[in-house]
Formats: sequence, C-alpha cells, structure tokens
Amino acid sequence: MDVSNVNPFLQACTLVLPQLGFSSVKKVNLTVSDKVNAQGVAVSVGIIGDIKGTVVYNFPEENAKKIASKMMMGMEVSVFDDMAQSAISELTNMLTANASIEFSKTGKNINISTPTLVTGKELGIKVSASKVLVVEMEADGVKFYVNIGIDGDA
Amino acid sequence: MPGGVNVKDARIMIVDDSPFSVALIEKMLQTNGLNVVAKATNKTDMINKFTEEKPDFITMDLTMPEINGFDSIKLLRTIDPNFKSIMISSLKDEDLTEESKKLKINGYVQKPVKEDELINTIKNIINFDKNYLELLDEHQAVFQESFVDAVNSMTRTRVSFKEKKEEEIKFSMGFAVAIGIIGTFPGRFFLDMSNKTLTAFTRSITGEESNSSEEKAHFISEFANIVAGNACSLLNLTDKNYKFRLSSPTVFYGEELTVSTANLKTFMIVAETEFGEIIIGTSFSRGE
Repeated sequence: MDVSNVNPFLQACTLVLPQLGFSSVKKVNLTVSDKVNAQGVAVSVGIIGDIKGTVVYNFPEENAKKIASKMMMGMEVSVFDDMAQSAISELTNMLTANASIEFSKTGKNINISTPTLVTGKELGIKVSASKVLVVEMEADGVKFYVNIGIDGDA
Repeated sequence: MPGGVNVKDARIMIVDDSPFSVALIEKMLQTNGLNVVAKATNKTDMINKFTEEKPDFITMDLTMPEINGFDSIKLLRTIDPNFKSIMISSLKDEDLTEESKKLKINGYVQKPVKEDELINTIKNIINFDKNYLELLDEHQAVFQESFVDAVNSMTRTRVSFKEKKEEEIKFSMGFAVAIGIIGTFPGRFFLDMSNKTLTAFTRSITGEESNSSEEKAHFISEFANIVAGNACSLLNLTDKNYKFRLSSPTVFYGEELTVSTANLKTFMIVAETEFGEIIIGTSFSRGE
C-alpha cells in the first residue's frame, strides 16, 4: 500500500478549503482500514488512469451543513437540501480535481468521475479496493473524512 | 448553435491579418467539405462580415495589428454570442491556452496549421452539442438493453420496464451501487434495490440460502460493472468520440439511504425483475 497517495488529497484540501473561507485546515489522523465506515453524508468519486480506485468523502450531517453554509456565503443551512447537496458534491469534485493535478505533478495521470452523493443513518460502503486509507481532516474545527481506496492495495 | 448543426452545414468565418493564412486555412476547410461563409483580414471587415453573416464558427488569429484575437472574440460576442471559436496562432504557451480556456474559446491550434489537426478540432467542437443531445436521447435504451441481456444470460429470467416519476424514487430502497463514467461526457450509473430484491437476486446466482452483505455487495458490484461496461462499449461503438471508461463500483447500503440527484439531471427507469424492482439511474454532463 502506497501511503504517498494521501499527499495529493491533503494538498487539495489545504488549497481548496481556504478559498472557500476556512482559515485552518489540518490532518488530524491517518489510519488504514479494510472498509469504509460512514455516517451522514458520503460522496464517492471514481478515479481511473495510472492509478484506479475510489475516494469516498464522508461528512457527519451537521458538519456537511456547516461546510455547505460556508460555501454559500454563510447562508443558514438548516436542512441538508438539494442546494446543500449540490454544494458538497461540488466541493468533492473540486478536491478530487485538484488532487488529480497534484498526482500529475508526480507523473501519475488520472481522470475523475462525477460524484455520487448519498445520505443515510448508518452507511455501509463497499469499494473495490481491499484496503482504504482513512484521512481525518479538520477545517476550522469541522471534521470530515477522506477514504482513499486504490485498487490493488493490500 | 442551439441544438447543434451538422459539420457540413456549419457556417465558418476565418479571421487572420495575413491574406496568405486566410487562403491556406480556407483551402484546408474547403478540401474537407466545410463551408466558409466569410473571411476578414482587418477589424472593420471582421465586424461588418460577422454582423452580416452571423457565422456558427470562427477561426481566429491571435496576433493582429488593430485588435488581438481574444479581444476580437469578446467584441464579436457583444454583437451575437452564439458562435463557437478556435484560436490559431504561431504562439502557444500555458498563459495563452489558460486565457483561451477562461474565455471559453473551444480550441487552440498552433501555426503552421496541420490539416488533420485543424479539421478534427473543428469537427469535434461542432459535433459536441449534437453528440451530447443524442447521448441524452439514446443512452437509456442502450442501458436497458444491457441490463436485460445481463439478467437474461446470468439468471435466465425476464425483465420488463416501467416509468416512474422522479419524486416517487427519492429514497433508496436499501442497496445502491454507483459507477462513475469517465469520458467526453462524464457521468454516472447506478442501480438501486431493496435488500430483499438483492438477496433473491444474489441467491439465484450463488445458489446459497443466505449471503452476507459483503457477498451481496460483491455480486451487485460485478453485475453493475457488466451492465455499465456493456452499455458504454455499445455507445463507444457509435463512433461519436464518447471515449467512455468506467471507474470501480461503490456499493452503499443502510437505513434511510438516499441517493442525491441534486447536481445532475438523472434519468431513471424501473426494471421489474423476478426478484423485485431495480431502479436504473443514469446521468451525463457536458464536461468542461
């Protein structure tokens, strides 16, 4: 398993989130898991090219609302409605697109798919990779998780 | 070009301060059956002929004495914004292609112009809208056919379809599998069904009485991959530059699961199988 695959996603977070108004963005934890555990809001983005796999972004619902609110110029988000879902989908698209640019700088060219966003109480998520790198991120105290599953990692 | 026009019908204008370049580009276009309706080598000429002809497509030189190509495009858009364009210049670097992208200019070709590159660039741009609309129009039938074929060959059972309103299928039935589609028009494919349906479906393949969520997830991933893969292969065969490829499937399951269709129009149809209802959802975007 190649832990350096985490770096492009970290760089994407520290580049994109400040543009949306977050002042402090940091990695809190990095673990390896054999499955994706998620609650609230999960967005899956497919990757193909020199590496292949899936990234699942997970936001506890309250945190998804906070981030969506920030993205919509501080507008209050009391219900995680279509507008908020669209904002979070767009965020994950921006993050993964930026990560793909970072990957290309290291000579790995990848393409990314349209995000699929789901919500649910206790979400079971199965990606094709058998091992997943789980990055716990925090933006101004708001936690979210980036689950990176690269096919072939064991 | 609302709705898209055929390549041969597209009305093309060439702008270049060098009469030599204009003649060269015109010859390449005409040799390939394209329709040049206007040519201009200076600003006044460009404005007058553009206003008169309202072309669908412009090839624009970048460096010209009175006004540069970028400003020309901006100026012409104030007269009529409904045209597509490419820049043609001996200069090409990251700043220029960035600026060109920012202005939503559809392509960039470097001089000396290579005939193949020029013609392919123009054709792809003109076909883009048309192909996208055709894809939206035609893809559902292709996905349905692949779905039926996969069910038939794997389980020897039949499938019928019924329409359902989008709001009727807001919530997931329990298990959803999504596959990202990458290509000229990126999109996604998903299947949604209840645990009961998936259990019966899985059982019909494995013959086992009970399967774990994990096993069911493996099965439905592979099934979805076959359906999407066959459908995208068929679409790729129609030679419209779709270049579709699939990302790996993601399976979601849980209580009160919903699949968001907020960011992209999703086409949905319900397949009635012997195991229960399975929703087939597809969406495609215009890409960049």
